[in-house]
Amino acid sequence: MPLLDRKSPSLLAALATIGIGVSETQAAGPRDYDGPQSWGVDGDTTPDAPPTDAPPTAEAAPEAPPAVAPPAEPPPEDDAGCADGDFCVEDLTTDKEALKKEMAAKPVPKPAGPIGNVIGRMRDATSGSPLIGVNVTVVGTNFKTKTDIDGNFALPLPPGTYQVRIWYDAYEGMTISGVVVGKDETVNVNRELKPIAGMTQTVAVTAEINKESAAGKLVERKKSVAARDMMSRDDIRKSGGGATSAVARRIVGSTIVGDRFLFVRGLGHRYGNTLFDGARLPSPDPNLRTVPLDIFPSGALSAINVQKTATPDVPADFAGASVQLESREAPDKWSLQIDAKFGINTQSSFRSGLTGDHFRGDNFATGNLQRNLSPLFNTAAPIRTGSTIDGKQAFTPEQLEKFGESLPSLKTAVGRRMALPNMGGGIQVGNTFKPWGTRLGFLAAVNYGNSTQTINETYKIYNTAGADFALNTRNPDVDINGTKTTQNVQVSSLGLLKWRLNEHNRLSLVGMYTRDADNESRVLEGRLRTTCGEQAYCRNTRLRYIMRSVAFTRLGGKHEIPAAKGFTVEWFGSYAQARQDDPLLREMLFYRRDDAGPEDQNYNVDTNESGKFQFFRLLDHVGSGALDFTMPFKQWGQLDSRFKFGAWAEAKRRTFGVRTLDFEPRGWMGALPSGTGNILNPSTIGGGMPGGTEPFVIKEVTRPGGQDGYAGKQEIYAGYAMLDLPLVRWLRLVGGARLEANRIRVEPFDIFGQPVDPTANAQLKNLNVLPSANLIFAARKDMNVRLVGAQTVARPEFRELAPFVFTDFAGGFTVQGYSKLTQTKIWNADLRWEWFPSASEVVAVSVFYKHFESPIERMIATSPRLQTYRNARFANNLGVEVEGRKNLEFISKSLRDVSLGLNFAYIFSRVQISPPKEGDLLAPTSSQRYLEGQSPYVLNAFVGYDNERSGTNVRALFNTFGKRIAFVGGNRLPDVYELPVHTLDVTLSQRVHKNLSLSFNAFNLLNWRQRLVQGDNQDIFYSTRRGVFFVLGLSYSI
Amino acid sequence: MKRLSMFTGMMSATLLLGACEGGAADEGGSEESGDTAAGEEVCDSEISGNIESDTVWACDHTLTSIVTVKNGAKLTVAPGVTIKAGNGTALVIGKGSQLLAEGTADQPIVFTSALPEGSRARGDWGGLVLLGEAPNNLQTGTGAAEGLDANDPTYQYGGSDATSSCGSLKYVRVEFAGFELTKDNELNGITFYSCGSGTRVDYVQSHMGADDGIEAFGGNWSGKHIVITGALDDSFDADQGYTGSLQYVFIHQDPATGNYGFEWSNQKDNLDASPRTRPVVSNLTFIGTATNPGSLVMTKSSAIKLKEGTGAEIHNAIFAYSYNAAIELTEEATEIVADAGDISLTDTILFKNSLADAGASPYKISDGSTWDLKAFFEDAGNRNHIDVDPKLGSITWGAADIVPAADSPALGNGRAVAGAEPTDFIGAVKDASSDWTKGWTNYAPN
Repeated sequence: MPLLDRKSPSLLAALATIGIGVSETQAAGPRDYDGPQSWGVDGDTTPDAPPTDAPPTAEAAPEAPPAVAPPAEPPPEDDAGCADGDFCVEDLTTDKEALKKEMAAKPVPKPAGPIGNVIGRMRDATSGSPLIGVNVTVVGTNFKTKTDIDGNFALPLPPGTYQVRIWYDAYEGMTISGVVVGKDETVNVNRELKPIAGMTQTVAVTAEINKESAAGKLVERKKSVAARDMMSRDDIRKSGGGATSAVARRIVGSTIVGDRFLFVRGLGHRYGNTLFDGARLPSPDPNLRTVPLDIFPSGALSAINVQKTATPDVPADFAGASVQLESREAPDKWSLQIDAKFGINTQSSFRSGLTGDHFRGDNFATGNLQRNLSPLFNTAAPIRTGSTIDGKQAFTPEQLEKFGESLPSLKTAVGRRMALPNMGGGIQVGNTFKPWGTRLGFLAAVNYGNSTQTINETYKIYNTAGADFALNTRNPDVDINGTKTTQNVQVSSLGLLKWRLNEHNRLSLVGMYTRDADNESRVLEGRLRTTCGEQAYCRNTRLRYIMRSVAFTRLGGKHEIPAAKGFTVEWFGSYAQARQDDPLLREMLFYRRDDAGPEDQNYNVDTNESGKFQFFRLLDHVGSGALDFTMPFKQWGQLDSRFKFGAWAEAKRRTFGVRTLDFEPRGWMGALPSGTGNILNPSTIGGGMPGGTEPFVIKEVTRPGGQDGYAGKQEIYAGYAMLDLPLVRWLRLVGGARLEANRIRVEPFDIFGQPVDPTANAQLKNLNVLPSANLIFAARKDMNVRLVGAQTVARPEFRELAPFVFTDFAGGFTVQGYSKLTQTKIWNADLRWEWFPSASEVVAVSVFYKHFESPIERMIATSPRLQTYRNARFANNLGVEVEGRKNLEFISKSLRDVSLGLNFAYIFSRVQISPPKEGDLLAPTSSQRYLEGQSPYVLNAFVGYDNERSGTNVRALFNTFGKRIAFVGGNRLPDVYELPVHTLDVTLSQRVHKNLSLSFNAFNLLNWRQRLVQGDNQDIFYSTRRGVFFVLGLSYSI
Repeated sequence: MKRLSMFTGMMSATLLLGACEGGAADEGGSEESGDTAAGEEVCDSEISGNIESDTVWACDHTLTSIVTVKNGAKLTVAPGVTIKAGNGTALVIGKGSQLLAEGTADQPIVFTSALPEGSRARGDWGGLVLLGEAPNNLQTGTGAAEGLDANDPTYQYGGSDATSSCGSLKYVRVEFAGFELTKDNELNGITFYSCGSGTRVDYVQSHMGADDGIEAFGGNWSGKHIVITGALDDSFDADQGYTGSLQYVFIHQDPATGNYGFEWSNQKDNLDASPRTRPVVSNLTFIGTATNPGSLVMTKSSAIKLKEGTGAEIHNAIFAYSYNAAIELTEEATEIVADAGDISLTDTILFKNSLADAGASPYKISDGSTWDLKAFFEDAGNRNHIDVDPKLGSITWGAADIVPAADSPALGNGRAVAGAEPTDFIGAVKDASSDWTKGWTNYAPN
């Protein structure tokens, strides 16, 4: 049941009306908005006073002239829970409860007689973020207050000249002398506080203590408009080793898939998007839309925000979560950090693994350059005997022989070699300069990692048999086991430039380049009865090198216009280029008759499937830009309100192509070389002349109709308007609508200009009006209830629309896109109750419902043996999500450093399938089932010990998920389920010196087997395990 | 030369587009719907895309893409026409459409490689694919043709009309086919997908085909006078419930390559699927790869493979010179079928098979099975002739002469087979005067 649909624009109209109506009211003073989503403020942040006599707010009061006043001692510590004088998180980001306590339970003593006001706003000098709970005291008096969660304070005082003391944990305090307060006057003392270096556990990032601390993130979450969860830099660092993906496990309802991808609420890749400082970041993996977290240099991020409900100002192509990565702030003073890591994997390191031949640059992720085809291969026609140009044979046998022998490498043999341990390191420097009174901060980071992983894999492909279409497990089409060794080299670099021109204007420039390469050697052995014969034992070898890179740059700015009463303009433009270069994939297939001996030499080459050399190349250009305007104003009750509108544009271009250079024994009459060695070599490669002495001749395979390549184009233009309106102090409405126009085109193409099949062209054009509304009910100061309804979309990827065909192994599924996919529209409803007992504790319960119209599902069938995609008719998901994070101090003071956390999401899902079309061999088999990729439950739990005094941090994280459909079975084939994988990670870090910390991490301790199963008896479809990882880390910083 | 766009899915006209000679490209003709007037045909045209209305090819042409006859259209090819085909091409007759290619002994119709003679090889073009509406034994009744776009319903086959027809092939040669349209997924020389009994097949040669020579997936078409030479893998592969009859068949394997002469399977995933594959072949001569004992090449060559629950009837046949076993019968389900009488091998000559081990293992069964294939085959009631020289004229690859000598045991020992022309000889040919394999066939290996 749709909550809202595009045909009922009444909400939008209403919002627009209200927006116009209220925008004429007096606007409040400037506010700082902490990012595209967190600009909202709960309606309960003004001091506890009736709206009618609320204190006047900032109206550009002149700075008080200095006056003589006696110096004063800092005021005594108040009672905010830090009596022992230690560093104290709770005090750092004083939450609403504390605020309330401070401001309501013990109101500022109102002076008798005439009064004036000192007001002001406290911000972080580096980031400009408001500081919450900053102590403001008047020296020598009892007058004191704290800033609210927008960093504002107001202190009524009798007229006079005062010395105001401002102090805040982990920041340099200050005393402002000579503050003259006249009767009925308001004195403004806006200040920015500088963080104290070395005060916190996050040694190198002291400047971000507020914004990037765990407690800070909780406050941000509490304030936030949309239901969201965040991981702070604290969390990221505490996870150890900079493994961004490891920490992300702890986000409510999240799952980390393949150690790289973040899934939320058990929804797969399709239902997430990834934004880096608000800009679209392309995934280096062309099959996916989510960005692997491990491409980011460990020092790059200050936070991962996971927004689970849509707001109009965020691109609407998500349903599970929009993962928003924030680049970190530049450090305030010279900082240098050097990290080194050393690790082993129990089933890879120091063990014998597979290896192919090596190329220059393999250790720097540039090995693809040496593997590319030389310009010789830029031919006008496919390189094979039968090629013709203008009716004449294009190549002579001599030319063909030269082509065959000029491939970058003819080595196809897979050898063995002991794998080295995993190593990595990074260096980052940063500083902030102050040219012309501005602040210009920079951060540069370079990281390198080199790791080797060997896994053993089992693949089975069954067909169905019998009247009941049971799986034919007795006689699988594919029954193979094998080993794969992958050496991954990752190089990443990041440059940040953050320039604060003045209090109101900031610019930031981010540049990032990450490059990683998988050098993979694989051998699969077993039965491939439909590919290399029923009686034969087969050996399929493959050498592959995939390089992926993303170059990303973003320029953005934020401008507050004080003259326009805090009107704020934010903008950015970004450009990214993503490449995937996969040259010189070499695949061979050998068979051995059962009755032949066991020696290697009894293998014969299966000429149909052997000698396959493939060269894949993918290039993406992605540009995005946005312009956001925020207009703060006071509503009828003088509560802070906002109107925000903006525009977004995005364009993406892709070219992708493959060349397949095969070898065949053309016209050969004799025996072929036997054995599994390098049987393709200059003495066996000829030109295919009858009667020659060299059996193999090159034969380029081109698929018909442009199936070897495609060009993709996508444009998205969006505009939105939203209103953040507190109706009353405890009830706030945030709503609006986003208009997204989207066009996707994917066209097959053929590099030789052969005819392409225009029926395989895909084109999607959609104009979506996507309303969303959030109703936030602040039941108590420390409690929110949110009701959200929003419409979002999910769109097919280029790859899913392209006719391009890929087969992972001889006899495996042919993966092909489907040009007739349509977009998915999703109606989301979310009811969430959240309670923040203290700054670092939270209890939240959500109930959510999602209706997917035409969701896209990944399907397989065995006749034809195809993996492709189809739209289901619709799906409904209903879920509950529970989160708790609790400090154990309530049990005993000695347990104050221990905290527990638990996230659990349970989702019920049902898909409705369209009646199968005549002749659709991919009609789904099952109709009563979950949506593909949807886990019924996701559970995360952690126990943490954080001792700030000793610099000790220990954490154990557990993650699991319920069995989910990996592939929907088509044409009577049962669905393939991925069984739960339980993961336990333990991380330890210890400060051994002011500048030096050590960490020890153990990942995947349970080494649970990943299993994909099929059918009633859970027969294995795929299975592997990754081994346990141990990583020793060293971090030195000054 | 002029070439117009391909895959004109909406265009229901002939696709004789462009002209090699004369320049009169007949722009208008290609837009016209309905019948194609023969007068519009320009000889030596490049042909591509779909054919969606009845079309006649009265002169030679060249295929330049996959050409698909669909929407019930009939493609008629006149005697003597040679259709050349380049890489990446194939001729596909969709469900409900027909190929009417009836040549004569003097004027056979030839589908061959576009390369010049002497430089041709297997896989130069895709091959002939006929998709029919007769039943097969797939669970779902419908399958998708190998090597073609599995996402496209045009390339699906199977139905319930057992008497339907894929057309008529008479004096037709299909040569040098088997181009890999998609990697790991090649076509065959001629593939009959569920073609019904209305299909006529007489005097058809599949020469130098890859992957198989002729493959039948389901259906019940019958044929006579069939020559399969130089198939890369199996010569005649039957699967998915094919129940037709073939009489007068000559199979000759390339000494360098070749798998089974017959590879028959009921259905790999449902060994008891119905209808059960049960081809009836009579009067066959099979010559395997091992014709040159001096320099034996290790191949997969074997005469008969009966597997996965297939039924079979083979009578009046000669199987000679296979590198491996003469007969393989695997899977218990197939043994049960044999015991039930649905496999019948009679009046058959075996000669010089299993040359890999000097004739030690002419029969092969599943690992671990104790079923006695030798006893089954050599049962006296079958009147089979073991290790008897059929005395054929020549077994030389490329120059075979399968006429038996006058004193051959093949003569006079044949017996009439129900449903087939009654004969008294074993093998495909009785004598030189009735050697139907001569004249219209081609044995040139390149």
